[in-house]
Amino acid sequence: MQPIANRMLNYLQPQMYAKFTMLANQKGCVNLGQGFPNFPSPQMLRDALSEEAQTESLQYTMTSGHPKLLNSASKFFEQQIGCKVNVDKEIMVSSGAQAVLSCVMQGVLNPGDEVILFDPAFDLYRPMIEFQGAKHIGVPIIPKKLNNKQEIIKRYRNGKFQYSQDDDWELDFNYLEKVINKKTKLLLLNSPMNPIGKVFSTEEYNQLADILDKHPQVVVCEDAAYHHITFGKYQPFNYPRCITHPRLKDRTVCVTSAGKMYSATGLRIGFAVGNEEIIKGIKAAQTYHIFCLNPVIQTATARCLDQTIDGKYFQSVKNLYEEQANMLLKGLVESRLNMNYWVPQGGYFVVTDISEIQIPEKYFNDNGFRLTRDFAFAYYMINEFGVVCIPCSPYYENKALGQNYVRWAFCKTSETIQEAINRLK
Amino acid sequence: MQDNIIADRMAPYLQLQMYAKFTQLAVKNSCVNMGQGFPNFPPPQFLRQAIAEEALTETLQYTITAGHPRLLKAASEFFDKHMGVKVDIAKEIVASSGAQSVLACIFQALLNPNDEVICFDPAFDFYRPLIEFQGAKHVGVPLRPSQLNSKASILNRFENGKIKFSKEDEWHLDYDYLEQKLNDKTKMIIVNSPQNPIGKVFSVEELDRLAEILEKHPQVIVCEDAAYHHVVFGDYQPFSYPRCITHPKLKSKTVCVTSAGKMFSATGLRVGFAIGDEKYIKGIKSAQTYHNFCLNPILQTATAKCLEQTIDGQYFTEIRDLYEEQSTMLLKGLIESRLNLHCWVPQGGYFLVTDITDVEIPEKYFKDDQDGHQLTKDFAFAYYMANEIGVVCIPCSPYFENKELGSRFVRWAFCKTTETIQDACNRLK
Repeated sequence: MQPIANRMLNYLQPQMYAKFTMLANQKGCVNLGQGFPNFPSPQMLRDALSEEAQTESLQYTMTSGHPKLLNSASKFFEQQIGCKVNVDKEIMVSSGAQAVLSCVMQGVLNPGDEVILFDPAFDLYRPMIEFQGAKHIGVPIIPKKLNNKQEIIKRYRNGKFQYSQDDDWELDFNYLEKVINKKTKLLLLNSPMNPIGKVFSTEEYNQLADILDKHPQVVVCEDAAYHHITFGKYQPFNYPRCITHPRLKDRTVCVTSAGKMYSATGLRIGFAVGNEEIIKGIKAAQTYHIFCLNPVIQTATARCLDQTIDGKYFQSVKNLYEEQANMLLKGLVESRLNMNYWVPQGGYFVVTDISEIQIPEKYFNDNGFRLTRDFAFAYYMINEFGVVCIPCSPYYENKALGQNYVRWAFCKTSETIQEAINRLK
Repeated sequence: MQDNIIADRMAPYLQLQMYAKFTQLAVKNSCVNMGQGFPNFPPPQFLRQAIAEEALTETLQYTITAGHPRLLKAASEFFDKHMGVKVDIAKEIVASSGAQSVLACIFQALLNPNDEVICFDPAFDFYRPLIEFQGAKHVGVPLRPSQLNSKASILNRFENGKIKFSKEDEWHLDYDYLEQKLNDKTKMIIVNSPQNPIGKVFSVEELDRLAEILEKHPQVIVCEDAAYHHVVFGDYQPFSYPRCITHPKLKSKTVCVTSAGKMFSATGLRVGFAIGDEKYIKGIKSAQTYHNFCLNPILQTATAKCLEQTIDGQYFTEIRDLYEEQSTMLLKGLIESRLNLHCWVPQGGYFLVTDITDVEIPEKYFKDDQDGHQLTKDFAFAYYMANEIGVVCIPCSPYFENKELGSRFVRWAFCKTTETIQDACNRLK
């Protein structure tokens, strides 16, 4: 007799990132898979945690968040995002952006509701939607063109790849209009987008707002986990957002991650900011998830936000990530792998097209089960090149589309990236 | 933006949660807060020290969903030593963000819509929403006190300032009613021992009887909430009392939930555990993947250090003695109060419950001051206490399916300093 609930049956295997990290360790690979920095987290965070551990309360605190953290986060968002937040009603803290999203889904989705995702969409969204009995619909974002090595290297100047229209991934607005309907409750978008690094433009949001005007019941969930990492013309935090778009902000909940902001993915502090009604539902969900967060972690995070409110820290972090992005992209372009490329506008990752790669047949077979191309490629990389990347078909409803892409993380030290590049030469 | 943004399942739960509400009221009215179950004495310095040290050295990146290896190892060794349970670290244990989060993951992992869950009322009021969120149905099987004790009879039982649990303090489970309620759809039964709020510790005989009944319903999983397993009085030693997770006929069908935060008097810690058979833990880990993904590594290794440091159990013997003193102090104060309460001696936990049937409450407190709706007697009593006596307690009807039964009881927390308890007792004289 099998005791596990039906909703979990598809999700009992080790989750993809954990699985590939384990493989990386087992086989001595360079791990460009899971999106965590392998350079040290800032000392200010460690010091803050250490000091608060000695003095801050260790008892239950408010479900919505420690007052200090809510205040610091609100001030920070006002300064850096230009978004005024009512501390009592329009913000909540949870255990990482992951837990925030989980609370959003529980707080907002009824069984039978539909959620629109822009594929490639972070693969943890879909299960959370299913767990609430809701249905996810993938609207693909498609690259304008494939850029081969010769084409993309032309845009490499002074150590950087210049972003151009050739790197655009475009949303099919017609398809979006077709699939959005009365049952659509939530539209989930991620900007900068994991894995492709797309930053949505104002024009795209205007078009989105036009469409959503016809569907007033749709809530926008804006996943801004990478909002501090934007390249080229964009500054940290300063790029087009739903939470500040005049026609989208009142229906938006914006999700951010202090852990990502401070290069400490294990911190487990994230925020939801937005419409009071949405936040009310999210707070109720949180009450019965984790009840409240650890106060020490919260006040330490508050201190870091206070200390970095002038944004200088994030300038230097963004510059670092931009260098790493360029280093990795160059290495991938110069590798012996015949891939197609795009310059990312932000985030932690670069995606490449692998449709022209010759992958040995054996990697398509996993215990008699036929793998998609991206998984075959990932195992090929692990076993013969010693570099881990992440297959992108889990990010897509349309697996035939998604299987042409893999994701590479550049949130790594120069040493790590160089080592990967050497193995790919 | 439309109305009804919020999902239907959340609609009954949008108001400020009861404990937070009463804590706010306590602060506002400068009451002595005997409501929410958090200690107001300092947590151990070794915990603060551990967090402070680990903060400087432990990784700050993602760790394993199931829990940091060091924590799983330390917890397993601790449970082996103190509970007599051998745990396979790779398969039979998972850490989550407090016992609360563990329970949320258990219900998500194991309950299908329309499954039924049996709760022994008075049942911690968080279970029911968690069950509903999975589309399942909760069924309350009440425990009832064997008798109402007069103040005199309790006072008589004091010897050298101490009082022992006796038959007169027992709350009994109606096994016939339980058998009636069990059916093919029953998926889970929640056993909280020591039980919040009444402090009941289930006996071996009771667990034997439960085991017999459950043999006829092999699909039923036992969710054993042992959040207070370190706080057991009288002849029981910390961690050492009858458990489902060690009962020969129940262990293979039990998931046992514990709380490091409660163990170390640091309810804000947010580290809890589930242990049990791999077939359950597997699902719980998956649920956790999509809730929190993983816990903060520093909190985990710090907790591991504390478990390692206290594995000889001495710390818990001292803590238990402290809580037992506080419970006696509070009990005495309630007996000597001017309120005509009926009391029972608890066997463990953080709380004691009193029957308020014979207390006169001014009529005005039966009306909610926000919207005027009629309140049950326990809520009326709680507001009466908060407004006129200056002591906060928790109404127990939310712990019962049968509100009429539950409205006879209120809960008082004794996980408080002597000063706090004395202050409360003075105000109640």
